Amino acid sequence: MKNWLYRSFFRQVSVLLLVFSVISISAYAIHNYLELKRQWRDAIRSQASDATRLVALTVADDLRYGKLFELWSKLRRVQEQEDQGTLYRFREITVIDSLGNTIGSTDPKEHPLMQPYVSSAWNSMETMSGIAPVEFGGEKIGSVAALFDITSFREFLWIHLRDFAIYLSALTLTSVAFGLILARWITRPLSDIQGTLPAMGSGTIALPALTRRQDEYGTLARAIESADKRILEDAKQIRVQNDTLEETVRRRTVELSASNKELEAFSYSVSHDLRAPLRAIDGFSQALIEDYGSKLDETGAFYLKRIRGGAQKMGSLIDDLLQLSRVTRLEIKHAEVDLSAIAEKIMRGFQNESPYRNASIKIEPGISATGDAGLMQIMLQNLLNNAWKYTSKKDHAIIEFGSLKQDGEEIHFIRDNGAGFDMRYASKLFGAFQRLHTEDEFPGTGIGLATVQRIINRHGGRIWAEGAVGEGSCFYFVLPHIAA
Amino acid sequence: MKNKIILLVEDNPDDRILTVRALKQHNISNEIKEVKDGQEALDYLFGEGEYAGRDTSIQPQIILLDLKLPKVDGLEVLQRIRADSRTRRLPVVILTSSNEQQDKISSYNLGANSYVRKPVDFNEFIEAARQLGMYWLMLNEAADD
Repeated sequence: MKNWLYRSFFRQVSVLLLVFSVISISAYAIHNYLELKRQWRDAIRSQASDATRLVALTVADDLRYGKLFELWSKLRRVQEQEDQGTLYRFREITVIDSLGNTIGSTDPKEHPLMQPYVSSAWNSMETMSGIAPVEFGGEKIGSVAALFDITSFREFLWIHLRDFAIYLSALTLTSVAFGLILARWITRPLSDIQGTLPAMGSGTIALPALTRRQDEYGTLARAIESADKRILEDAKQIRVQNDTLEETVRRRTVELSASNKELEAFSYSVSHDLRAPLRAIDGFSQALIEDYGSKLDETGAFYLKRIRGGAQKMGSLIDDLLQLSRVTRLEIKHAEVDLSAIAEKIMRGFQNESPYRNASIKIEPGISATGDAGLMQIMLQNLLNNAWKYTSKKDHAIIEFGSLKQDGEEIHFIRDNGAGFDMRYASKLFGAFQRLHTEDEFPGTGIGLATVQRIINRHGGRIWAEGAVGEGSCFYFVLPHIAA
Repeated sequence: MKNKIILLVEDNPDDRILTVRALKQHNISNEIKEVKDGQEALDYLFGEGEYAGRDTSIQPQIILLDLKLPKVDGLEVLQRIRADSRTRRLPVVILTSSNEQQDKISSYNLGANSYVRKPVDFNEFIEAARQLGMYWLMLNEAADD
C-alpha cells in the first residue's frame, strides 16, 4: 500500500484530497446536525412548556372547586387532540394537588410521576416531560405533569439528516472528482516530462504542447529541451576531446618509448664504449708494471698506480651511473620481498670480504615489503654498503636493520655507529655526485644514495636520514603497501 | 697443435693486445687467431670471402666472442655458429664489458657457453675452460712441447 501510494504523485494527491474532503465534510455534517437538533429541541421544549402551562391554567378552576370529572375530561381532550403542525404530542397528563395526591390522569395505571419535576426535561428522543404549577388566586394549589411524545420530531430529524447526508455525499463526490481532475491536470505534464528523460542527451526531446505554455511547466519543458540539446553538444565535444586526448597519449607513449629506447642505447653505448679506453689505460698500465716494473723507479711506479686508480674510479663511476639510469627505466614488478633475507645475504658477503673486522650485525628477522625484488636488492646493497663503509674506522662497528611502527606506518631503518654526518647537510645526502666525505676519508662515487632515493620514489615511498658527526647515522624508509 | 686454435673475435685493438697478452702470460700456447669483426669471424669459420679455400674441417678449440662488433654483431655471429652443422658444437665464450643483464640473457638464449669479463680476466677464463672440459687441452700444451 505504501509503495503503491508513493509510486505516483497523482495517487498521493488523490488520496489526500479524498481524506481531506471526507473529514471536512463529515465535520461540517456533524456540527450542522448537532446544531439543528439543539435549536429544534429548545423550540420544542419551550412550546411544550407553554402547552403544559396552558393545561395548568385550564384546569386551575376545576382543581380548586373539585370538579374532577371536568378536569379529567379536559385532560382527555387535550391528550386526544390531534396535534396539527406540532412535532410533539401529549402522551400522558397528570394533575396532582398540593399534597401530592393524583387528582386526575390520562394514564390508566395512574402512575406517580417523576419527582421532583424540573420545569421541562428531555428524556430521550421518544419522550419529553414538562411540569407547570396550578395556581389559583396567586396560590399554588397543585401541579400539572405532562409526558410528551416526540417521535415525530425524531422522524423529522432523521429525514432532515438523510437529506443532508445525500446532499453532502454528492458534494464530497463532486469535490473529489474535481480534485482528481485537478490533480491529473497538474501531474499529467509531470509524467509527460518524466517520459522524455530517458532520452536525455539524444537531442530528440520535443514537448511542443508544454513549451507553448507560459507557466512553470512551460519553463521546465523549455529548460529540458535545451538541456537535452546541450548535453548532446557537450557529449559530441567530449568525444572529440577524448579522441584528441587518446591521440596525444598515443603519440606521447610512442615518443616516450622512443626516448626510452634511445636512453637504453645510450646506456649500452656508455657501458661498452666509455669503458673500452679505460680498459686500455688500466690494462696497459698493469702491463707496464708487470713487464717493465723493474725499469721504473718508485715515482714512476707511483704514477702508474695513480693512473690505474683513476681508471678504476672512472669505471666504478660508470657502473654507478648505469645503475642509476637502469633503476630509473626498469619496469617495476611488484612482489612481496623479504628484506631481512636480502640484508642478511649482503652483510654475509661484506663479512666474507673482510673477515677481520670487528662488527656486530643485528638484522630483525621477517621484515618484508611490497616492491621490485631486483630494485630492493640494489637499494639495500647501497644502504648497507654505506653503513659498512662508514663504520670501517670504528674499533667496534654496529650495524642494525630493523623496523618500527609509527602512526600506523611501518618504518624500516638501517642504523650504524660510523662516521655519521652533520644534519645541516642532510638535504645534500640524496643528490647525485653529492658527497659529505673526501675521497681520502671514504672512497665513493656519490651516486649510491641518489640511486636509493630514486628506487624509493619509484615505489611511492619516502626516505630520510638522521645523523651526528662521529656518532653514526640512521636511514629511515617507508614503502607503501601495494597489492602485488 | 694446429687444430687447437683459439679464435678471438674482437674489434678493439687494445683489448686484442691485452687479451693475447693475458693468455700468453699464463702459458696458454695455443695458436690465437684474431679477427676484427663479425663478418671476418664468419668467413674464417665457414671458409668464405677472405678465407675461401680454408680447410673448414679444422675448427677452433674455443671461440672468444665480443658482442659489440662492426658489420655483423656478436649475437648474430653466435646465432650463425649455432645454426651451422660444422660449428654447432663449438664452445663459445662471450667477452663482456658490461653488466647489462639483457646481453647475458640473449647470449645464453642463443647458446653461449660462458662469460668472461674483458679484457680477458684470466681466472674467469680458466674457470670457463674448466667448465667446458678443455682445461687440460690448453694448459698442458707447454708441457707436451
